[in-house]
Amino acid sequence: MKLSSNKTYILPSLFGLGMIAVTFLVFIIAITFGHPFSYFITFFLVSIIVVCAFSTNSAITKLKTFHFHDTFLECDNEEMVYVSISNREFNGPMSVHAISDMSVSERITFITKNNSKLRFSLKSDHCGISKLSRLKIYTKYPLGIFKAWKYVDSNKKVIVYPKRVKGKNIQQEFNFRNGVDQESSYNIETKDEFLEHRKFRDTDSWKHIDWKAFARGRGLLTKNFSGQESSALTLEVDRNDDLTYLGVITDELFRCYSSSIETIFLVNGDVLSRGTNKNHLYKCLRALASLGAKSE
Amino acid sequence: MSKLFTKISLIFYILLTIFFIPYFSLSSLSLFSIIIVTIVSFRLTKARFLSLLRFPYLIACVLIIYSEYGSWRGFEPASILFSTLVLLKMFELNTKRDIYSLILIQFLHITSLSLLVEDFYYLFIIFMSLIVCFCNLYLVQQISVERLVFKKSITRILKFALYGSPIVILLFLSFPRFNFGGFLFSSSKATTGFSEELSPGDIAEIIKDPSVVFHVNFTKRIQRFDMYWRGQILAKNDLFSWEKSKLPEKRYTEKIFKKFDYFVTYDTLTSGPLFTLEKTRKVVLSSMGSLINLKGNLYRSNSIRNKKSRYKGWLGPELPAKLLDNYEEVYLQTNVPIDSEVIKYRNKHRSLINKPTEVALHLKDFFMKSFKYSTTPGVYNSANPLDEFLFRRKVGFCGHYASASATLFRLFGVPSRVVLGYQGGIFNKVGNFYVVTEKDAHSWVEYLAEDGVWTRFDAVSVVSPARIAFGADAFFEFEKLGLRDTSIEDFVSSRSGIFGELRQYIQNIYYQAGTLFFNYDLETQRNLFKKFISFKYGQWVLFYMPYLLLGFLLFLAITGREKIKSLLVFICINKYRSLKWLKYRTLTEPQLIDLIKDSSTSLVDLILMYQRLRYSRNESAFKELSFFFKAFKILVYG
Repeated sequence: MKLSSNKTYILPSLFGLGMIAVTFLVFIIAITFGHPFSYFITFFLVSIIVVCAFSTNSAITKLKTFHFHDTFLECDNEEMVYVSISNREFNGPMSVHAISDMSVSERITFITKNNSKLRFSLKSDHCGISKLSRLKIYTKYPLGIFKAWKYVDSNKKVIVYPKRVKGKNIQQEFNFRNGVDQESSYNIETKDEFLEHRKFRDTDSWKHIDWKAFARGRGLLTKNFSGQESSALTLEVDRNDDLTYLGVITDELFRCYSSSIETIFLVNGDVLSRGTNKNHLYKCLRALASLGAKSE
Repeated sequence: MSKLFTKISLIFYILLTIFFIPYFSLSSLSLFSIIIVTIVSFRLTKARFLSLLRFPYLIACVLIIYSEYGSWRGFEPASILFSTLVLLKMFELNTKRDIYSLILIQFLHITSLSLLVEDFYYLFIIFMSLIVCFCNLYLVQQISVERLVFKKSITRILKFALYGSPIVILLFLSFPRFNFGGFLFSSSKATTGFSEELSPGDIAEIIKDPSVVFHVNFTKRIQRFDMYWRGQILAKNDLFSWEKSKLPEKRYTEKIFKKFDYFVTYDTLTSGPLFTLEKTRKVVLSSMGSLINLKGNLYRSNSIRNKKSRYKGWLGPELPAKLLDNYEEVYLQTNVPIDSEVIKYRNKHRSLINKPTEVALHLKDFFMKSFKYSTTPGVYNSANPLDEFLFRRKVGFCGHYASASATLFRLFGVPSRVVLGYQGGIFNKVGNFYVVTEKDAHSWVEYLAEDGVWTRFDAVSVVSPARIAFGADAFFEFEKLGLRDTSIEDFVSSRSGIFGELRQYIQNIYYQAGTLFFNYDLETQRNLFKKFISFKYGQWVLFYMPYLLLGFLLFLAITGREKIKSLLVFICINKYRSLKWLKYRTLTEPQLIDLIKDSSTSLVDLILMYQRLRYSRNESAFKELSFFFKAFKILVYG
């Protein structure tokens, strides 16, 4: 049975059950001896338990606004994911546990005034793009007698890209994949870097016609070059590429991103993205994730 | 964390034990001290073998319980066992789980200690102990988030206690309190200081105990001089001692139809003699139990469920005793040697024989002349202690006077008997009631007057009138301090300062709390309900009250819903930031939204909803209803 996401659920914790048992024992003592102070202790314990139940319930009910982002996850690797929560929605410093279906271990977040980001771990064995599974958050605040929880749904995605393969040279991989006659993506004459395709015009040089694309039936296309010598690295992937190759590309992509080297990412011969920024990285990772899913 | 909690728990334990030291034996206290020393050395040295001593300590505890009490039953063994368990648990406070189990044992420990006491100020100690336990719980939860939040934990738990107080009061008022008497380890004890015999000097022992016996509320004014609370009658004489015997008379059966004259609430007694005023003609038990009307105008209660006795008393006219034919055999019986000086004294005043009033006057004169009242008269251990008291030492306590004067009455041919009970009490101006303590224990004599009425004769009232006039509490304290330059009147007036008033306030709280909460039982609840029913229109109101309330609420909701909505919004805003009503009235909805937009989004929604409902026509009733739900939700959850 799947419990609703909009509700808060509450049950006594293991310690809470012990506490209830002790309260019951004190109650038995009270009715056995008829001692007024035992009655007082029983009633006091009951009142604190009730107030605590309300407090625990309200602590978790108040947490309503969660800011999720698309999550990029390396295949076979446990990653920590952070979800922002509104500062106004918690009573005071408290510990909140968060777990999702894709979590391997349970993570505790200590929410304070300075930290309002909830963390949880995610791990996946398969590449691909899927919907972020719903998150269960719970707390035992303030006395640990009750455990209140709620489920949080998100419309964001989890992008699982291929596992990074380190220690392999990208040129070697190219050679291994395409043989020695691998065509360079540079303008041989000027050493300018290939930028994009555009439709053939009569005035264009025949040398700049992409015959390979013509052979694939895409019509006459002229290669546009950047006009100056570029240090950009072209990473080309194909739908038939295996996971190891995709892993090498992923690793190269991250290496370039971290050292701010411009990369041109080609998928099936078409330029998907070019740049050094985060958006470019994410675009490439998405493509790698879907290609990885296909190759699996 | 483990070090911190060991420290906190040890300090808490030591403080708690200090408060309860009188209830622990020397051997158990020594065991606790040894365990504490072991824990401290274990924490300092980390020597593993010290932790292995836990099991021997537990066996030592069991042996102490067995050697001292010989039983597992009872409050003392339980408190010793739990005290030891709490200490042993402190050896291994390594994880959160250990701390949780320690706190659970601490709760049981506090409960076992609470069973040992009934004094009101212990309630405060118990309350504070519970607060400390809950603070520890809060600390365990918060220590990983924030460091050392002692102050915060106390304020948070006190806040919880405040929020929970209506629940405690509600439970106290609505939960019927009774016990199963005899279930598990229960044992019922009747506690009055009196036994069924009186040897002079017995009462001097009883008055050393300052504990409260009962509280009395009078519905009409009665002077302290007339407050003689009769509990037992001793009619069998053995020279200077008296014993209980069968009384040769019938019970009174007169019926009385009027409001009761006084209401007595016992502090400790469950079953036993009820102490009633002299002219009491009717007694009705208010607590659960049965009442026995004994001969000699005495009453006894047998509590059913171990409840403390409470009764109402009705005063009536003085009635002649309904004596049986053989009454003289009992009421004139003496065991005085013929050659004793008291017989010679009787023979000297033969003219008084069979003249009760004259004998009484004569005895008053006799005692007033040269006798002295003292709580420490010494032991009368000669062959004839009666002669020694009456003709040589002439120093005694109430027991001596009662015993001697009853014997003298009998020697003069006047039927008499010794009565045991209490005299007077301390008046509490704040609560308008009297508190009778063991200090007020007293004995006096009743003789059969010419008109056949049992008449009181109290020699103490002539030997030491201050004891009767100012009460036992003030008199004994005055005696104890030995203030020769001050008169007792000045001493009594000096006592009524701020502290005296404070004491009365505390006494009143104790009494009211006892009546309203601690001794409150199923029957009192029934009585409360009955009182309401007995009101002329009570039943009618009770039946229609829910409908009336519902109707009134509906009326309010329909006619004044705009005002209620505005008020709700105002209260909701005040939850987040303080805003005066007058200013609130001048602000428009957008201004209000501007004011609180940083505080709560749900409140902004509520104000928008309020605006919509206010300015648009024909909004559905469901929407209006949902506004109220939303407002209450904000009030409760924020």
